[in-house]
Amino acid sequence: MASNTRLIKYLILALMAGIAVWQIAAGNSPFGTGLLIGIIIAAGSVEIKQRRISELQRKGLNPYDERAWSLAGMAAYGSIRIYAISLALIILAGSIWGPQIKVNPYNLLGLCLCALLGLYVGSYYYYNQKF
Amino acid sequence: MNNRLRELREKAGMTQEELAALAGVSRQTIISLEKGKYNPSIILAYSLSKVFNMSIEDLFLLQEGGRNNG
Repeated sequence: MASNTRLIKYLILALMAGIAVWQIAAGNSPFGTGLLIGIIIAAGSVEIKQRRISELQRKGLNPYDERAWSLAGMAAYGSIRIYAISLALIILAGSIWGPQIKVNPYNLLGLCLCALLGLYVGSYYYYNQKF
Repeated sequence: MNNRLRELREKAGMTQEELAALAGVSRQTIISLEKGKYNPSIILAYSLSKVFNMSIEDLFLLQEGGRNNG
């Protein structure tokens, strides 16, 4: 099961690398290069995480124990709550005082996704310290 | 919730890692339990009490107003 998940992760990364190379070849090099760097970082993280999990499993420990699931649940709830409140405040303030500007919707969605993931990681570390 | 995990583990001469392996959890979970930061599920409490061959009530002590999210 774990090796299947790992294989799927690497297949997705390979597919994304293909898209990055295609974009660089097509002349959209800022996006392609950024994507390629992201893929390299993601592949490194997946490999490091997998080694740590294998090390724990070799010692007979369970890296996916109930505390980890509990923390993940609290982090997900905490991050979505902060995200929704922050977004609501930004929309409110922006609708009243913000200038009318044109934005690339894909860049905006990318920023929103990064913010949500960042909040999740931060929340996870916070709850990991707390519990 | 208070517990006697550290006391019993040290009495048994076990490391946190050994206890974690016996209970099927991570070492970090044992650390959090010993510090009283994390409240285990009934299944984990049962597994730990089995390791020390005692009842859950003898291992975990619920205090008045001692409920939290963990």
